[in-house]
Amino acid sequence: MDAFHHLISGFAVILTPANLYYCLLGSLVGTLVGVLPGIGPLAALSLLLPVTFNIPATSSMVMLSAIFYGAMYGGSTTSILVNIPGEAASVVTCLDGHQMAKAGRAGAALGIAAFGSFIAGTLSTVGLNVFSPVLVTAALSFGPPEYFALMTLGFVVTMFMVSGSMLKAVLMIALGIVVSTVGMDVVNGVERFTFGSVNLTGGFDLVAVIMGTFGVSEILMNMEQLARGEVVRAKLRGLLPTLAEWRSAALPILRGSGLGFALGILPGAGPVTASFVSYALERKISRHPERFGTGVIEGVAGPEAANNAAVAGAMIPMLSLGLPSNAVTALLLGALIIHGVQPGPLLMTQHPDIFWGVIASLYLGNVLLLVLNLPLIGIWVQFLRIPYRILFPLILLLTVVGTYAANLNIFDVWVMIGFGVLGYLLVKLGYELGPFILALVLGPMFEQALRQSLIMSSRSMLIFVTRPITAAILALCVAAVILFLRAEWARHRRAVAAAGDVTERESP
Amino acid sequence: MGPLPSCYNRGMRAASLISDAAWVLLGLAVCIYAMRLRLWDAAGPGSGFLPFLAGLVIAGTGLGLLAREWAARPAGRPFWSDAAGRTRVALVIVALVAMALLMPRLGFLLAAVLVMTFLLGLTERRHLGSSVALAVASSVFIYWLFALLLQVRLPQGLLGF
Amino acid sequence: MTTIRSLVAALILLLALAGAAAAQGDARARLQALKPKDYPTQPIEFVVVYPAGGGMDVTARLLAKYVEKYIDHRVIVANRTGGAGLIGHTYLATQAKNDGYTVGILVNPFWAEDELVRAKGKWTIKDMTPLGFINYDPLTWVVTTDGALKDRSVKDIVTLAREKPGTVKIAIAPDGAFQFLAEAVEAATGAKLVKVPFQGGAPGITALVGNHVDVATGFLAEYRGHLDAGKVRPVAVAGAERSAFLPQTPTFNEALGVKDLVWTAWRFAAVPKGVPDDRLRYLEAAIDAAMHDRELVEEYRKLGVIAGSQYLKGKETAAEIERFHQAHKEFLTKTGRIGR
Repeated sequence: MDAFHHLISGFAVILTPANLYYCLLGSLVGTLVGVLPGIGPLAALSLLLPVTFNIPATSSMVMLSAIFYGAMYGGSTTSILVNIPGEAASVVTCLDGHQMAKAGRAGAALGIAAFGSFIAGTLSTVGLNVFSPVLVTAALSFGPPEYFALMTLGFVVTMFMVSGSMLKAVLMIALGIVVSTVGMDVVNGVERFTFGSVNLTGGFDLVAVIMGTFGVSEILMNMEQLARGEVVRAKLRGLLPTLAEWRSAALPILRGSGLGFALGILPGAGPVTASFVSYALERKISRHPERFGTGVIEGVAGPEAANNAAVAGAMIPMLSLGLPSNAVTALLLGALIIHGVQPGPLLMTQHPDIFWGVIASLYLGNVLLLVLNLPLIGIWVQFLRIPYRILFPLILLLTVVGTYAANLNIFDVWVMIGFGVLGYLLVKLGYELGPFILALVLGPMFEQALRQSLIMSSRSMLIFVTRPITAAILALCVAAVILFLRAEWARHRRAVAAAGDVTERESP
Repeated sequence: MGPLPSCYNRGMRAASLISDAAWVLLGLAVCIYAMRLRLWDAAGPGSGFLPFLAGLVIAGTGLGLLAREWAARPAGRPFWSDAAGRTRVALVIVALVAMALLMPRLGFLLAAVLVMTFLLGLTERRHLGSSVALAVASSVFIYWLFALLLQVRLPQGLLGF
Repeated sequence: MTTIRSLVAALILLLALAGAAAAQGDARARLQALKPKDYPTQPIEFVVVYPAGGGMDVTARLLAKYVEKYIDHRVIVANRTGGAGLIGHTYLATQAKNDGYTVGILVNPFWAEDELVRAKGKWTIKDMTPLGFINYDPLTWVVTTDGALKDRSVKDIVTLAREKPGTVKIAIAPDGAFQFLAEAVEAATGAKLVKVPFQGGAPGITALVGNHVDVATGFLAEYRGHLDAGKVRPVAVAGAERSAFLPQTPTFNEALGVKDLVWTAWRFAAVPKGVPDDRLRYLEAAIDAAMHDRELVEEYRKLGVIAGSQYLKGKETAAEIERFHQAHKEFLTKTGRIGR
């Protein structure tokens, strides 16, 4: 296999002391940045880019890429331990991961997250290695109408992750869409909902909103309940996942890997979307969907695998074509340019050492990160023993600094506080925040794709049915909606029949 | 401080009704604002199109929730578990606001030490000295982590650090 | 014979290197002479209002690297992004301290555009004092080499768009130079293009390569890799003269017989107004020294931006910016975007 021989040469490039060092350094920084709430891989890469000026291009790329996927390993740590996402792609891990920690299974959750990330990272790197050319052509065929269909599918899939009131979830989605429109309209530059504030013309920073709605609100909730015997932490029962947990996690990891990889390749979609879709998928396929949200391993394994696989997916258009899928890969491309390397279709032939070196470093980095993260689990769970009253000020401060660090704009901290209070009130009133965040992430892409498509087709809706991929995905959406409605109708009829024997019912 | 007086027991229902009504108002406000941006133009949906639809959904679901909450007869549930909890929540919010206000003016380290001391003293009456010591240690740690290790430019205050 | 040749070659090389070193040493000496007391004592910050990794960011980082070399002092680059540059511009014009530690790396027409259309009186271009000109990058139109327009010239494309309006799709970034260029072409030729908006040049190139649009607007640096691979072909350059990197590509003015289709990213450095004179002159000299460094010019050339052809110092840059500001204001008034 040609790819295999190239890979060997890639390993020859990176198995030098210098490159090994940079890979390790990047992995460490990535893990750190992933663990710290607020600050994410993009901020870390922007800050550390100058450090790479005096080292060769290959080493720079190895280190910077390691920060990118390292962050996906670290992000789950705070999600599981304290219910605060380390960054956007780990939001979903909070849902079941923290519940597992509360039940004393923090070690198992962290372990499955680490192993799941490793397996996903390795599998997706194989995919990158072997299937790049085919996949890149497929990715290019996604234009605005295809993206519209994909985003619609994303919204449809959200239905499957709702465990409480559907009405409230729909409201949260609509709210997320409204909040996502704050700022400049990307299609024509018109300012929406900015009310004269310069800071709002950029819209709300996603990190600030997530840190607020999940981080600050979580701390506020815990503050309220502090007197009632501490935040419930059962005694730690074993550090590693049990065999049963392994068996349950295996298929979700594989599915998450495939899903994350596919979504990562498409410019625009990425680790965040992948993690949400994986969670919804696992919940839909599961035989006990009602247990999601109480601490099921599938809810951790799938999303964590998905966000790691999405990183390798995102590297495909970057390495093969020099096209960025998201802000992080755009930055990686910038780093290449600064080092005098021209990214593009010729990168593979003009700079095979960089191309194959980076791919080889992905394999290596995943191994390094697994080896790094496993012993850390023992240390992390010790954190749970610190009394919450001492821990929470530190977490709060970290969240504030992490949010500030992204753009050095104090306005982001205000946004965080505002959404923190909002998130807290919403949770108290029984609303789910997952659909809100998903709508916030998908909303802009959905709207942009819709309007771009209609501009392309001169306002003809036919564009959505004449293009094969678009039509196929939209048909999938329709099928999913029908399936969902049928299941809901059956559930409703069962509930009504059961309620016939009960005199009074609480409204949901 | 013990549990709140019994009139707060129906707090949750009142809060739900108020919030549902608020959604309806918010939805309508969004719709009106959206209509001032164009809903449709030569290129297809305008800037106001999606916000308008979303505003409609917010108002509609808000109305539905309002109707459902009104018709249901839930057992009384307080909105806040107890007054102590409510106070703690309020104080944490105050601390966050203080941090946002003080950080640009006093610089990160000083603001962090002050706010953290306040937060540490919030939940239990600790000896002031140990709170300050812990606050200083944590703040310096965070400073080292972000400003020195990750090269983030944290605000510097009047004292130059 | 060959020994003598190689000796001569070595000698010439040595002289060139010595010359460069002398020039650098010269510049350094001049800078030392201009250095104010107690300055700089902390890192100097170059502020870029666009995300890291983009064209502006790369320009700023390269400049920072070389300025650092000449002043022997740390220069860091900070990205203050958001609102397509408005947040960063507002920060620089209203909040940034004028103590000489903050330098904005700015680009026209986006700088003038923001002031005229979106600043809404909160700041003006006079709030920033220019230090010097850096480089410029003309906008271009590109097509794929295997699509429907693969053999057409820009004139053919425009004719096609005029005869069959609504069939030629072009990728633009809305409300800025990209869109203005397309509109100006339409106004000058009567063509009707379908302008599909994207968030910048790179997504437009992606769409072009995927054959979702027929033409894309962008800067050379954004598609250089594809050009080298033979996948895309620029059809016209919106510059006053042909680009040295694309000698075969005509300018819009040439191809369409007009005079004002010039849209370039014209990059310069500026500081908030009110910086003390000695620090201002020091910074100006530092940037001038860096811009005269042949290695930096070479690095810019590798990017595909045009640098090293003119060296404008502070006052000349300010004059040019003022001239452009007037012209842009007229353009915006003429097209009904301001003065309504």
